[in-house]
Amino acid sequence: MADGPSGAKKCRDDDVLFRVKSKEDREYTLSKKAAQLSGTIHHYSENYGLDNDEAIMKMEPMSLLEVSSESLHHIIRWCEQHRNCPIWEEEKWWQNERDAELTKWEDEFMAEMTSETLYNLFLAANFLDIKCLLDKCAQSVADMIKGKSVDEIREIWMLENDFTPEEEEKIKNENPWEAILRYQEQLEKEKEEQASQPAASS
Amino acid sequence: MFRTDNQENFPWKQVFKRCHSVDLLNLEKVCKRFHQLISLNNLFWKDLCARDGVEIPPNHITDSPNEQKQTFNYRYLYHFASKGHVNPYGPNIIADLPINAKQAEECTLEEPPIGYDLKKGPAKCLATSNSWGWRLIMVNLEKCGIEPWILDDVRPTIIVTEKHAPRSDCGAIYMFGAEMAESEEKLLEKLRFPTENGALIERKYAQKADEPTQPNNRIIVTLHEIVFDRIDTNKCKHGTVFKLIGYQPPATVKYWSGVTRDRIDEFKKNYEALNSLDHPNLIKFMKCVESSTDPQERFAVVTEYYERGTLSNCYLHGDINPGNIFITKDWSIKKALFLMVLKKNQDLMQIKWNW
Repeated sequence: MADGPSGAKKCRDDDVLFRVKSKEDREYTLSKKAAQLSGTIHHYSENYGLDNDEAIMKMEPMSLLEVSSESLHHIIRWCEQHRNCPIWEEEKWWQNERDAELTKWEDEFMAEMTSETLYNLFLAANFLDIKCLLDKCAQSVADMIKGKSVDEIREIWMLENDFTPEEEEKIKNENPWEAILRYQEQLEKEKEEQASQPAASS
Repeated sequence: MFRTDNQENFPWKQVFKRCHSVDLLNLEKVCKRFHQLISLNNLFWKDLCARDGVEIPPNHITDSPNEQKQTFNYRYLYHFASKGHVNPYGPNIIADLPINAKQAEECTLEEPPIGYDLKKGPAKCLATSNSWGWRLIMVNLEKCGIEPWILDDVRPTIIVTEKHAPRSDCGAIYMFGAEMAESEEKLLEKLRFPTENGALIERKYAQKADEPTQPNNRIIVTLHEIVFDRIDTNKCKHGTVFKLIGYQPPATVKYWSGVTRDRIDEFKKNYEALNSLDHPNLIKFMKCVESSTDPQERFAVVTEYYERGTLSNCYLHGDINPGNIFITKDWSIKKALFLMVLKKNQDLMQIKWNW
């Protein structure tokens, strides 16, 4: 996990390096462009006058007390990979353009994660406010429960059912559209039957 | 280990907004916190509507003041409009409704007749008998996904339009009406159906007792009903003549009865020449129409309508047969004489209609 130096190596020499410190007090560096992906770091640099290269070079490491070394290592990898990406549009996040090659890299990156590292990474990305990483993590977490039943979801995310039986019953019945959706599905089916009828008769 | 229960600021919202609509139905039943974050968060659903391209109704509906302090429920809208269903506030609630023979009375579902251009219209048609036929479509707005309070309090304008029409080459008129009713039962009570002479009669919508349909009685109009007054039927030797209602210019249709296949073919060969005849004193020949199912019995010709009948009951005699001369609305005289129609390398037309 000695990635402070290797993260720095990836950057070109003329890059100004940002210094950050994990909660285990390990120091890491990342390029200025990569650092700007994080809303938190961006905010910090604005507040502490780190708007020019000289100031950044002289900076004290920024303490990230909520981020473990392991997560920080992954985050720096991610940020260096994404430092040339266009600005992430959060309002309409689903419309962001996704580069095919980069998506492949992202998928491989995510495949390495165990659910625990994913969990920590997700929290760290949330803390550091890195929109594109947050999107990828959230999508991965959402995919964990795709097509699963209520009980399976509880098992996967280790959640407890804290509803009383009465409440549970109430919630089951509070969706008036579920019956109506079934009605619509039935209409759909009739339509299909109708469409297939002429073929049968001729 | 994915232990999320002790983490207060876990960004669940980010996860939920990337979930599929089916999964969300399950997620809100998982625990109280999820229920709070998903079901009770109206704006969350507004975002989802934006994500999945669900069209949101205009502001006067979503922001409408309401006596019961109800707000527009985006969750309700989302579940109706996602999953490929039709948006209840979109332009077409019941678009692409299949033509369903079950909904139509005194009509049958048929293939269009020969020569019908499928590019110009639908590939299915409703054919009707000599009288009116109708089709009943009930749209339950509540079942389409519109909340009842919106209908009661906001009272949005509901525009009902119909994409069906009679065939362009037939003089049928197609009438379309809409009724509002509280419930399907109430609607059935309210329904009025037109009769052959145009008057409305009250009619219960119920399955008719089995009546054997007489094939000879059927006409060839597609998609909707032909509507006519019967005129001069006694004077016709070869068929029945009807005045077409709603046809511009006024026209009549004559159905040939008992003609042979050969004769129809021969007539059709000369059709072009007849059609191009445009003389103020000759009756304008407009269309010939043929049914796909039984051309022998269902062949019709549409011509200009002579509003004031023939001269025979007026005052003309001589070598022109008064029965062949007609007077139009503006008192011009028309002669129905097709004996003169010739086409190169064709014999004389062998039709002598007693128009």
